[in-house]
Amino acid sequence: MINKIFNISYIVFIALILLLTVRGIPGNVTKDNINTGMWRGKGPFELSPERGRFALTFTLVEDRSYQFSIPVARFILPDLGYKNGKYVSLFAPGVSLIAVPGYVIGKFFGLNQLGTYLTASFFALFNVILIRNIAFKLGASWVSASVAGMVFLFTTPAFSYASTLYQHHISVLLILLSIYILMTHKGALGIAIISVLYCIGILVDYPNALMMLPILIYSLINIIKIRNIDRSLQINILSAKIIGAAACMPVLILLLLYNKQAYGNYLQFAGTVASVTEIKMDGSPVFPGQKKNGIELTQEKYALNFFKTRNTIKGLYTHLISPDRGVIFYAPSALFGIWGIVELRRRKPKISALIVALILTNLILYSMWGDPWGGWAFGSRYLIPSYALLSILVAMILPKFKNEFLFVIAVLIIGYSASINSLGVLTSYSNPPKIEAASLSIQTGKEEKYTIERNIDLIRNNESKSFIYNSFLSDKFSVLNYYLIVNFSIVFIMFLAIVYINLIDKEKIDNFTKSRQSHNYQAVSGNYNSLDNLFQ
Amino acid sequence: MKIARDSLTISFELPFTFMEKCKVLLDRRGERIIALLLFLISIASFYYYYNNGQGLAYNDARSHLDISRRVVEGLKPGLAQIGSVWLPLPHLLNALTVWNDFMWHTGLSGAVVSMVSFVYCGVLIYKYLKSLGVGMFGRLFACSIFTLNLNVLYLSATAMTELPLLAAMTAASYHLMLWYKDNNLLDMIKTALWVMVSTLIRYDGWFLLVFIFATLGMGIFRKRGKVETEGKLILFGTLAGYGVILWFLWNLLIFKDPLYFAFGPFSAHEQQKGILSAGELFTKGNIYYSFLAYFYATLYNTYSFITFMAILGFSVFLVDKKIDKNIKIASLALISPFFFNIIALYLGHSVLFVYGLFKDTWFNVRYGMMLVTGMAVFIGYLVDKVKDLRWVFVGVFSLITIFAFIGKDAATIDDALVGASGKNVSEVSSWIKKNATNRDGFILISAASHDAIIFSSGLPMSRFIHEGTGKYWELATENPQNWATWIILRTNDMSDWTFREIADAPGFKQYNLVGHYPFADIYELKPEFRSAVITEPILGKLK
Repeated sequence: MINKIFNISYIVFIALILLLTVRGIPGNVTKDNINTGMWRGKGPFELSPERGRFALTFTLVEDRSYQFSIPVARFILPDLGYKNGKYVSLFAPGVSLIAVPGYVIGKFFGLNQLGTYLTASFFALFNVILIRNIAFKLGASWVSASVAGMVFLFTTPAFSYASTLYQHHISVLLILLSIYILMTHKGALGIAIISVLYCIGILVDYPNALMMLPILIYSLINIIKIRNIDRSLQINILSAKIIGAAACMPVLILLLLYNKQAYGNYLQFAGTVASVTEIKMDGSPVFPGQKKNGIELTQEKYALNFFKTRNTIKGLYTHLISPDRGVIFYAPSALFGIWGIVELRRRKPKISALIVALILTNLILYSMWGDPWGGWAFGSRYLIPSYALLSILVAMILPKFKNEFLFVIAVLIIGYSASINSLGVLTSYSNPPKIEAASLSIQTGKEEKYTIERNIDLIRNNESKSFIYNSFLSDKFSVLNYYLIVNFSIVFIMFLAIVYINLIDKEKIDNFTKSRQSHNYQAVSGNYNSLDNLFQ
Repeated sequence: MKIARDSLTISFELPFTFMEKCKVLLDRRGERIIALLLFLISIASFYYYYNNGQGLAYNDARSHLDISRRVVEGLKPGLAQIGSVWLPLPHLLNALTVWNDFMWHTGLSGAVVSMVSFVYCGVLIYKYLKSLGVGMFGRLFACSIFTLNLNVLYLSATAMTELPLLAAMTAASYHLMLWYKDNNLLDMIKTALWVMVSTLIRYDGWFLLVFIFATLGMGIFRKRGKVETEGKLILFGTLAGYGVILWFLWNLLIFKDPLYFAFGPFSAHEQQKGILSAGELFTKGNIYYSFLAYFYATLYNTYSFITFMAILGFSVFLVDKKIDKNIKIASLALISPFFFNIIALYLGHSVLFVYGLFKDTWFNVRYGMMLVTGMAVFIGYLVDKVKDLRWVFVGVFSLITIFAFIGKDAATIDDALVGASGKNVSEVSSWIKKNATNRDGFILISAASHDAIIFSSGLPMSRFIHEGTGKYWELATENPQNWATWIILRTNDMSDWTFREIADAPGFKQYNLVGHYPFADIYELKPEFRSAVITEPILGKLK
């Protein structure tokens, strides 16, 4: 009973915080008002990635089309594509397709933007639950696992992207769910689900094809069984699992059909179509570097050319230590996960290898990316999958903070991280890269900040994007007070949990965890053994 | 093969005898198999870069070939043409084949040396790890790290000195490690021989000599005491330092100054003076900048993550209690280029520009490649040690390598093509080729400044009067109108030796400027004076 209350309270708390921070304003987006200031600029559609994805959802529902009308196309600029005389999306379609139910429900209540954005919040909540469950299965206590979920959501830039329509939380869900399935379903069904999730991943964000590859390889290894029999090596290829792996075909076919419908070619992917910088008064496009009376240029774009090893040094610096995006400034709490790797390697070497592979793939891939800043963003948004995986590992070392010094350091870092990321979610995630801020300062004639100072200024100016605050609470207290309430709630709950883990009832937690895990092991015993013996 | 329909399983069996045969073959003939594979890769690499025109992108590569060619052909051929700036061994090795026009102009005579060195480096990595007890997986992975690097592949296909030096230094490190491991005197002698070879390739080898001398001294002293240390160091020093002594002697005999190579007019020291006066020797006197420049060069040569993996491997290697301390010390020789380059940059004896670091250009970034065999060894050791993560390392390496190949990422090629190492002299050389090939007459030119033009013109070396042609040069710079139909120089640039010598010569006024290009101007003797100009090598062997 206590357990149930704990679980429900935990989920309600997370959901409540997500609700308090989700961006939006009342009303439905229509073609008539889509380009007005209420939605753009100071409204909930700050940047083109969310506009582009929302616009596709909007067009799918309202126009039953994959190509944009002129007003919608203007809304998306500058991340707009052009193919065969039509304006098309530059983004993979998965996010927009997944957001359709949220849009429809929201529209019913006169809140189609909010409904769409809540899709991401829903996925964020599910991610927290998955992190908690995976961490628990890997040997963490329920409390540690619960804190791990909160470390991911509230102390990393994942928080900012839980309140808007980006691909990150959906990608994270697919990755976490795949890991969870890998741990719990050994047979053909498991492989089938993982291969489907992999293909959905591609549909959501093309780089997921590489990001999720370690999971796919890990699961496909199960297809081949090697045994030593009578001085010979028997290699069994389990064709049932091959059939399982083929379950991804419908999703792949869906992707190809989408490409055909949207771009007129089965193998034309969104990011590779010509981009448009401007739309003329007569509705015709202007391409990068093209004179306005010119013709459509051939912009040769190849998907794999977006990643270049030459960018790695700049990318690593940007993701890890730069003041405008670096993990050490925006998500230092996740770095405890590195210690967690050492712990997990002792207990579960195979699964820890998979997690390390995923983190490294994420880091390498987006270090090679031409724009490691992720445009205007808050923290390193491309590393959100790594934050999730590192948070699982954080659960492994949370009970290690018994030493007073370590305890204080952990609490301070987690508190700092939560405070920083609460700033982002309540104000704005559109901080320019340092390099852009410098040129912007010359244009505007004033200092353009590129770190959290920019968000602090917004708090001082009483500016927030929160739907709840703007709709119901703005006349009751300031944004600063709202921020303090939200942030204090998060930090306080996490502080209590860490205190509980390390200082109050260690023995009780251990006993409780052992009993739960032995129960859990019995349920999935075969799967666990097979997982650890995968490479043997 | 059986297909079991009921359980939906396809199974087949491999007899152990077959597996065992494969294993035995790999164990026994691993080095040969590696050598064969690397040999094929090096041929493919040369073929690729030769066909895309990048094979001789470095001006230095063309200069190396010209120096060797001058030994066997020209107005004054002979060993003295080896000069004083660059150490002699690569040119002597090139000279074995450079007499052949095909070998000279394709760059193959220099590339062959690099290709053989490339193969030997791969074999050494394999053998090094085998001696450390690293399994087949780690050995093969380490060879892949070395081989599947476009910077290594490019330098293995061109007439530069990096690969020969790397092979000599790695061989010295390998035998040093073996000596510590087995205490066989022959290994120490081999170490000394390879150190000597490296001292005759590049000055990096001189640092290796000091480095190994010091570590060897420490190692023997710890184990055997003072007397044996003295004896073995004398033995080692005599052999390993022989090349250095010869080089001093050479400079004394030919140039009348044993330190001519270090402080002579063509020395790196003199070149660095110009860079220093332009305020661009950023690393001089600044240890942080020196470290940063070399570290960045290393990162660019290894796609970053390889360096980080190697640092991890090196750290694990150092703390591994199973490995003897002396072997750890011996293995430091693998990373001696790291110390050498930072010291050289700090002292201002070397210059290295990494794009975007101090200046938006590349220069000498290839120096960062010198750690790659050491990195391969430490990564091979790492994947052997951390078995549960070995597939993670393989995956990471594959990801990086695939993208490096797709993006054709080779900082060394950029260094050659767009950096200060790769002046585009094709306009000048094309003019000369077009206008001088079918006409008689000598071309007066400074080889120190314009060797790339000499090479790219495709003309025989005997058509050029340069600093190394003795009396021809003296007479031609006094009265150019009597000797040179064409003069190539940088007008008003006193660092150009031809201009410096003939700027005030009255005969220089008898030339018309017929070509003005970014890196050199071309002057042609006016038609009315051409009848008196000498067009045949009349001095013969007298001078």
